[in-house]
Amino acid sequence: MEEFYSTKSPMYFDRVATEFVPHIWDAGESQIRSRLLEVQSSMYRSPLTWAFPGIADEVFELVGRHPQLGEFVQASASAIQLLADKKVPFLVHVSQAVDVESPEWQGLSIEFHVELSNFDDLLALWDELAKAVFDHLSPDSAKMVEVIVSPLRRKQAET
Amino acid sequence: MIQPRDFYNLAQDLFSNYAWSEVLGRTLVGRAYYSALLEAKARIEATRSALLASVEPESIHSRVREALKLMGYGNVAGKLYELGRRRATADYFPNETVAKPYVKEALALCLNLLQLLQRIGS
Repeated sequence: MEEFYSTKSPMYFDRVATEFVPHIWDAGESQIRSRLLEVQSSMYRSPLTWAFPGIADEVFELVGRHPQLGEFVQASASAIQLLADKKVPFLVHVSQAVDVESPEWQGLSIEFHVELSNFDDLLALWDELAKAVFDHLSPDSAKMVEVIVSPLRRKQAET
Repeated sequence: MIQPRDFYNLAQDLFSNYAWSEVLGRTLVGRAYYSALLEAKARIEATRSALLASVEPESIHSRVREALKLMGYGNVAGKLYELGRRRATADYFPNETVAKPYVKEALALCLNLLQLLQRIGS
């Protein structure tokens, strides 16, 4: 899906973040779910959609159990702005993080798939994106979030 | 006494100088992960000795990442998480292909982690 390669929508994302995020973690579970769904569906309606191609039910459930994690939307927006400024094609995948060695641990994975051919450049960008995200997370949220950066491969975006 | 980085050095040496096989690659990913994990644990213990005992998760894997994030190294925690994911694939999922570029990236990720960890407490 070629629209995932667009980097034209930071303003749109800023608007979404501004409108929906500030009180997201003060809301009850059903409100959080509906607000996140609203964010998601608004993005699908936009012709410039590229971020959050899908948010799994497990993410809604996790945020429902840990409302402070709603901060991830605004935190991700900051990183997305950085990617847009750098004109790096990307998509973002948000999912429940799992650690096979720590089955009791629950977390949120924010994975940025970026189209960079040089792996060292990707590693350097990773540091910047992680800083952009963690600068906007409270300690309670931060300990549950993992920021991942991986190569965006065309085949992956087309499936 | 061995140093955590010794595992990385061995893995890189085997990757560069031995004939490639998937079994070798899977083994190297595991050594790379434990090199970074043990180095992170040592750095945390050297600079914030009580921190690892104070965080909630039971396993050392998630405790190290949580401690790193509390110290302001969310980037390092995420990279360690990703290397751990690759290690889990290499060790627990024999039906998935572990190709040479995947292992090469894992080794580059490990080296980057060791370099970042060197800055902690120095």
